[in-house]
Amino acid sequence: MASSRQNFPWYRRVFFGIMLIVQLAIIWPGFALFSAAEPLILGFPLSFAWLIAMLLLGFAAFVGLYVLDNRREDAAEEELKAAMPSPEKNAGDAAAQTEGRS
Amino acid sequence: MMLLDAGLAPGTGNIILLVVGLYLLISLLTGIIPALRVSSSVTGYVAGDRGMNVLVLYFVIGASIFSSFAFLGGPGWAYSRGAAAFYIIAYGITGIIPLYFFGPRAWRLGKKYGYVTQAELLAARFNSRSLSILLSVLTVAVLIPYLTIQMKGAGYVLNVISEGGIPEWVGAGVTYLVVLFYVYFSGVMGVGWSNVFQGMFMMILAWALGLYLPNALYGGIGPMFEAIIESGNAAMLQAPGLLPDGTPWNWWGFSSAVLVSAIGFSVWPHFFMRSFAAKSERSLRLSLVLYPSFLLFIVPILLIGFAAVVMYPGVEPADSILPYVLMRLELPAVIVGLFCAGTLAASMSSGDAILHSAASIGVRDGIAKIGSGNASMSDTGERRLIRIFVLLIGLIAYYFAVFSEISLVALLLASYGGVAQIFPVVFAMFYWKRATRAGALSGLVGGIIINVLFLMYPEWKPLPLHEGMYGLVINVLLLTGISLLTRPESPERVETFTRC
Repeated sequence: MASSRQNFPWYRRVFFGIMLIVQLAIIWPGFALFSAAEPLILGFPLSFAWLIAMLLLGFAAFVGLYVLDNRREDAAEEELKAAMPSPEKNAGDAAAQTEGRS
Repeated sequence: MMLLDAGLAPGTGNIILLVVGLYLLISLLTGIIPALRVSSSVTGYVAGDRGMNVLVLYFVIGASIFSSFAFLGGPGWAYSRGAAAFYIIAYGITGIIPLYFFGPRAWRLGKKYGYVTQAELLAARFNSRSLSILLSVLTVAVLIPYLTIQMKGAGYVLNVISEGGIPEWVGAGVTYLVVLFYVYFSGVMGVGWSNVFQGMFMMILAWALGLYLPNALYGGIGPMFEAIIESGNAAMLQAPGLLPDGTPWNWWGFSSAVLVSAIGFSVWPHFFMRSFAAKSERSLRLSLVLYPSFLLFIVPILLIGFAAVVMYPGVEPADSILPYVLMRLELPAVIVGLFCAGTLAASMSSGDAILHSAASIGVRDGIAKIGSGNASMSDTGERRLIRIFVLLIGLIAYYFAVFSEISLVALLLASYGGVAQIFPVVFAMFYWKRATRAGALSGLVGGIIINVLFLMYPEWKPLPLHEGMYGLVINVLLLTGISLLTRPESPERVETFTRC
């Protein structure tokens, strides 16, 4: 039922792309480019400021993934409800369907 | 609390201990009260009847990083090794992500089939009792030193703050008697609610002190780092910082340490199994998504260490820098008491989860599986045995904390390489149909052997990478190679896991 396309909607690809960049930015080689002590940025050494920036970027991407995952889940549930109008059985099915995707 | 009152210095000492005593009392109460609401089954004790809400789950997950290693070791690393301490923040950024994908799957399977531990899942997927026993032995072996460090941290802080008035064995003993009490009676829900209290407490204190110190000592964070650079310590602020001997760390070492820890992070058994306790999939995912906010709280913790670089050079051991600075500032006794309690909170909120998980896993995945297969343990019997293990493991860790001289921090950092070996097997469980029992067992065993080998003989390493990396390479090769060479497993059972 769940094709690989459904498992990997566009925003999940974007998420993994961002996280790959973040990962490489906090180890060699990315971090090596921003590893100096100076200049100070908002009072923090460049190396520290860079790490905090990557933490915030990763955090934002993670929150984005959560929001979009929920939206897709809700949409799928709605769709299923609309498609099959026997209310009781339907709710169970919808739950099983949406659960099948993370 | 009686023990704490014995033999203290008059005046400020009293106030500090009063604050700490009060904190311990609140911890005990928040830990005991939830016991009244959870069923007396194993699922109630180990997975909180699968009823944890986002608030509790968020703090339980967050507390796993806010251990006494972070609270004492974090400032210690920043103080002595500078940018090397960024490692503590770096690995969590991506390390948490796999659990966002594994966790809901584990949760669904747990709800359907009653699983409450990671090893149970793996044993069912690969149809292997030996895998379960192997994992339980590995888990207990890495969690005991972890718990011992938490106890040592607690005893240490109380000792320094009381200026030697409270011996370490009394400090660690009293603190962990409280932990033992609520873990014994309440199981995971006691761990959860006490972690909410302890977590909020130490977060507030970390920010307060992390912002206060640079301001009080240098007039701001910028001036503080300027002072470090001007004092000739610019090298320590350059990533990846310094090694313990003061020479620069190399990128090989830093990068591979971050990677191995990130890979291992999501599969630490006590961490992974919290997935089963979640109330719903969404509450699990939300608490995982919010996890990086906990990493932000490491920032002020590191600032505490940096603040001491110029002002208090040459403090040994570096891990004592936080209590050392606290005692030298002219702070009101109540504040010092609060910080002391905050450090205990860091120790206890990790220690309780570790104690609880080590006992649950040791019994459920180890002891219960060793006995003859058909005579399965009753639910009440199992819960009783887990409780006995809570006491036993607590005592063993206490013994090591008080009487043993082995370097535990080294042991703990080494165990990251061992735990990371669980990752490929967990990944294959959910995403690779072709993985077989022989492949999983040989991958895990091979990875652990290589890891231990390079740990003991670092001079054999071809490149200065973390030993866990070599273990992972062998692990993945064996897992895929042997799996492809052996017959595929029953598609029915496999699909329960890959399509859940």
